[in-house]
Amino acid sequence: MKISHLIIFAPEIAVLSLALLLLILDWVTPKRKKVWIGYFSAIMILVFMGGFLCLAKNRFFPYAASFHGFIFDAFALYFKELFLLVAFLVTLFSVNFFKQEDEGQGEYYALLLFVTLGCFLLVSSADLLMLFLSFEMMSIPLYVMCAYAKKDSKSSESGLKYFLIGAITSALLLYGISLVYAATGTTNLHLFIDGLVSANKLAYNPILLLGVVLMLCAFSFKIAAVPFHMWAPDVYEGAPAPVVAFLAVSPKIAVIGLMTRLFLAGMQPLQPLWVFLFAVLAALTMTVGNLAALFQQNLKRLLAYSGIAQMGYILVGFASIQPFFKNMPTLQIGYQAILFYLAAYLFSDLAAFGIVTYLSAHGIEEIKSLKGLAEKNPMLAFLFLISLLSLAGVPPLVGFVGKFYLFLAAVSSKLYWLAVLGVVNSVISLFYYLRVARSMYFEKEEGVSIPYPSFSMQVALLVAIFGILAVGVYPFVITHLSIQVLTPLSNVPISHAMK
Amino acid sequence: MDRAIFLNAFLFSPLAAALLILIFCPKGNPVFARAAALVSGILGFALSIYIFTHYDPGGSQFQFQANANWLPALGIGYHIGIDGISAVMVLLTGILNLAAVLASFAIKDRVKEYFIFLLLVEAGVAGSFITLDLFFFIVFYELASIPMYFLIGMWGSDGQQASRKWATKKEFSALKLILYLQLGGAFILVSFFVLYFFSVKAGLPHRTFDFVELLQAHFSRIPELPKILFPILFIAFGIEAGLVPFHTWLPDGHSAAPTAVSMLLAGVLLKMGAYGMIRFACELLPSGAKLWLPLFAVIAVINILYGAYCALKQYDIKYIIAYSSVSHMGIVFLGLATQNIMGWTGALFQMFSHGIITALLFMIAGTIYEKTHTRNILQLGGLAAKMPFLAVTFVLGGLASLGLPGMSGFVAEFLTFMGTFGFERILMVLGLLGLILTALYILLAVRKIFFGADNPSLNPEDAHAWWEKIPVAALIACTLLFGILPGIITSISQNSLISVIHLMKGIG
Repeated sequence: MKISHLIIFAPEIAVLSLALLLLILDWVTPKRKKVWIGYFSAIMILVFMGGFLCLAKNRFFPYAASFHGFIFDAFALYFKELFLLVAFLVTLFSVNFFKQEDEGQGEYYALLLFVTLGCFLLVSSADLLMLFLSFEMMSIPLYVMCAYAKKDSKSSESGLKYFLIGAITSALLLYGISLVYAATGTTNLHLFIDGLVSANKLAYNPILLLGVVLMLCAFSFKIAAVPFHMWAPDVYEGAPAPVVAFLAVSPKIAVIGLMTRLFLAGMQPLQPLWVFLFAVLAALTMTVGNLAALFQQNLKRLLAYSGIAQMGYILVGFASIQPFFKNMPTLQIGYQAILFYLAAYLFSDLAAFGIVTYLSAHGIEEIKSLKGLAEKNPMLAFLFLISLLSLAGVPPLVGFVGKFYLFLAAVSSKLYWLAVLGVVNSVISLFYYLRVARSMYFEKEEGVSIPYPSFSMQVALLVAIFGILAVGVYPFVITHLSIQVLTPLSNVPISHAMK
Repeated sequence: MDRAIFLNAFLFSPLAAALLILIFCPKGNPVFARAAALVSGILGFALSIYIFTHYDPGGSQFQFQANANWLPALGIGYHIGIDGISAVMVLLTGILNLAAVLASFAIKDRVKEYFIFLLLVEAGVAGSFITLDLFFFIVFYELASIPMYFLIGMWGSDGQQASRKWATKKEFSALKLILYLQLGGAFILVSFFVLYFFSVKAGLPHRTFDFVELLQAHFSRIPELPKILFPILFIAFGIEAGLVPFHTWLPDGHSAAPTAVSMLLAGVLLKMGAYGMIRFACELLPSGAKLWLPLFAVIAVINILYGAYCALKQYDIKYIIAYSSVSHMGIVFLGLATQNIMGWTGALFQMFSHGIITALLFMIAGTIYEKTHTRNILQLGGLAAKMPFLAVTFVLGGLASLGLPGMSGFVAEFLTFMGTFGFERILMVLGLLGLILTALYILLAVRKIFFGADNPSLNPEDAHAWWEKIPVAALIACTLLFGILPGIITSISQNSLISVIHLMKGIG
């Protein structure tokens, strides 16, 4: 390996150095000026986003390269840009959330970047061991972040709960990996597929099946798919609002990205098995998430269940992947739908959580206390309405195009029952999103008006809302990108490997 | 062709007005919002007349076309254009949008938000009548239905049933309406997906959502598809059009809505459902239509009779009008089910005529409510002396509704039942029974409201601003005009209707 090959690690190196720099800065910054660490971090993240974008267009940068367990390709870069966007928005949400006297603000931004680094590695991993390590890298700083409000017992409870669940998840994942290794004799994703294809009988090897199922359970825990979702509402309710925003988006996107790579590149031969699992998982997740959300009073819990339901929709995309034939001409629509929906989910959910963060800083956490928000702060209510309607899938917002894509994929695989269940679920979800709207708009209450958000929050909200509207009206920005990104991935194994 | 700009302007004028109000209207100053809405209403009205009069019935199938790529990877394009059927609907939309804006001047509370939502509905309705792309139909369908929730919940009023205990709350009605419409929309969406994926099997070179291209496909080649899909699509549109037993959102929603929104709901939103039945269900799946429409004829007659029976039992004026809509939409379904040109012309004419008449009646009911603060006919009485203008116009509207010769309702019913005579005589006789019931509930309501015993506690003033009188008078003029000269409508729509019927009969 030459030193110039380090370029394929450029995103990871950049984020890691920024995180370490923030730790040093935290050490030298006086307590009153800690806010500037957040701003600095946000600006640097923006610079990285631009930089990676330029690099991606540069020939000097290898389009696809792999180094043992690590792959660098357009697919990973797409996800890395998404993670940076999340980190950027959440950093801006957090800047004015923590009060001046709160301790450890600098470390907070560093932790956020460590999680992002974990997500980076996860979508780049091509080896099951690498996968496990990055999985841990992503999770451990999140436990700390959940418990960040040290004086709040709910926050500590949330952190502990998330940690315990996370430990079980890791155990499941590791056991699953070991069984898969026992069955196939390799941990490398690309060798893995060869092994599976050549030994067709392996597909029904019980050890292998158990391993795959256990891995799927671990992933389901992380994305809070039913029946592995119970932790989500409790953790969300206790953790500080900006952390919840982060928790609800980045790790979920990372795990979905990993699953896309794993099942697209590595486990295609097992398709009949996992498509059935995904169909059941999607149906359960959508339905239970939506039905449980109907009864929530707390905004964070509501968004937790709504997030569960959103993951259910994405799983519909996985369920609609068709069997792998040798000369499959076109890229399957299910994968495109998944990638598009992740972007849609990012914008919609972060806009909603941004507003919840702001409201939470003003002591509003219940739906009831939203009463009269349309009078007290019309702009905030309007933005909240847009983000909720996008989550519900109302045109011309991005959530609609995303759901359209996913259910289209389901129908394309003749999963009519799943498509019908999905659209009926969207109707059910409208019920609780509109309940929030009803509280904001229909019910009047005199009270103190809520001031307009600070500059950083305004910027973050505008970016998210702009994403909801712009991608909703011009979806081909993302669809085009997703096709470009996925096409090389579906031609497994990757030809260009460096030793 | 450059003429598409008129159609684009027709669609985008309400959207532009909504955007202008959102950005520029100062809070607490309603004048700007009203002016912008009025300008867009007048513009839309003028455009609709231009489009209607410049539509060439002998010309190509779809005129005023514009087509732009939007998501070519999925075969979605922004494609608009009209044929003879949508030309009639465009005219109706133009008339009712303006009338609704004028009727909205009575709104005093949160005017800015009100007009934004109202204009969004108007744009959604306009869009769904002119779009020739299945994806965009869904977009406009949602655009027309989602703001309804806010319009009803924020500016609506509770129902006024005989017993307060049973009165429906406006929030409940708004939610019921939106969930029903969304459920219909959900099934329409899935049905469209199925059409999309079978379009290649049906003989198209690539998958597409484009209506004109799908029209070239032969879905009847796939044996089971039309048989299974047609009833799903028909009922999904039927939810919006008030098909029994999926009509229950209709009376609650219409009654709870503010006046202008009731006018739009009954006037054009129900027609969107019926239009969808013609355009997407019958035209794309003619073999399914041939098979299933006789069954729906029976449901149509149930619609007529059940709607009329329910209207007879109501105490709230708006509920009476709403149930009369259920009954009258039954006539549309019956006309469609006949599958002959007479019945279809009658159905389309009924869609237009019922739109005008119901909007008129809802407008008058709204004025009565505004002046007397009650809509319960038990509390009303003897208003003819106190409010002569309303009494005269309500009687005229009622007569048009029950099908008095010389007014548009008569032409529609006459054509429909003529068509039914050639289709199934028993259904015609049963349907005509519904007309007797219609006469009964309308005349009873008129008697109780305007000529019954005077209720001394009501002291309404009979003062009407010009903007209250003009739309009422104009709508009455419309029913008379199209009642006396029905050829204006039928000559435009004739060829398009015939081509659909030929599709169903397997000719051409």
